[in-house]
Amino acid sequence: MVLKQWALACSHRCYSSLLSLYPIEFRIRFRKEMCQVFRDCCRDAVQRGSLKAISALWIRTLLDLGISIFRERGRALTTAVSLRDRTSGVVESMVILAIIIFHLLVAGTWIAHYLPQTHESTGGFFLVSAAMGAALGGLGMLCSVLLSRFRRIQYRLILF
Amino acid sequence: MTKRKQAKPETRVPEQYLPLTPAVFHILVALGDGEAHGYAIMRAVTQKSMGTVRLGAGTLYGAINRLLQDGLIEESEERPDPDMDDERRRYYRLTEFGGRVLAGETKRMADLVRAARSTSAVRKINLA
Repeated sequence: MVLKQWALACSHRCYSSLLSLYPIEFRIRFRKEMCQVFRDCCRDAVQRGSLKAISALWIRTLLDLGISIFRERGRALTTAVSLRDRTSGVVESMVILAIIIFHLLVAGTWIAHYLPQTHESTGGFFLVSAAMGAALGGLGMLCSVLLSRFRRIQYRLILF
Repeated sequence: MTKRKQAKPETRVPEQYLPLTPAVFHILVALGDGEAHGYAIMRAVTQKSMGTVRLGAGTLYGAINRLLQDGLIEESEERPDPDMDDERRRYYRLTEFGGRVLAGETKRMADLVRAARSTSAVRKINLA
């Protein structure tokens, strides 16, 4: 009985910690309910009478968590990228554009560096472009971090 | 949660939500007889599918999240039995539009079953 109580307490704690992997908005909305449901499932498993039932519950739960965390993260990213919210549409576009330009220019600089140079000015041009791209990218990243902090939208995911 | 802009009810038709995913269909069926909280939905799905479908909490609440955003279900203020219940639980119920979507999906599946039954392969097995 003591072992079961210990297993239950551990299970609740582990499950609650694993829920941190969900996107923050999903967590805020459903964390308590999900913990409650998991507690109910554990209670049922204990009533069935064995630690084997708790183990089976954990296997199912881990599979479900793996799939649903991946799906919810994907949805959060899609929500962040899609420009549904008119008020932040321009800022979102700027952030995404800045990040794209930054990556393109960095790639361009690397290509220019390794390709045989036909004109002397090519390297300089790409360096200036890269500096501008870096500045834009930095601004974009700053905006995205600020937005993710204040609006709880996961722009940070775009950066990785 | 970023609020998804819902289409106005009069501009929406149930067909635009079809076909439903199995999890969503089972949840709507579970709510078809009245409001229920998450764990009750989970148990109802297992019972009604005779144990073939078992929803995990993550799948359940992911689907509930989408259904709430699409306006197919809503949170219920009333509690069937407040004394017996934990106040952390939230109850959900079908909206009128959700009911129409469920009916549409049921009809679609019934048509599919009818079409499948009319094939010679299925008839042969049924006769044997």
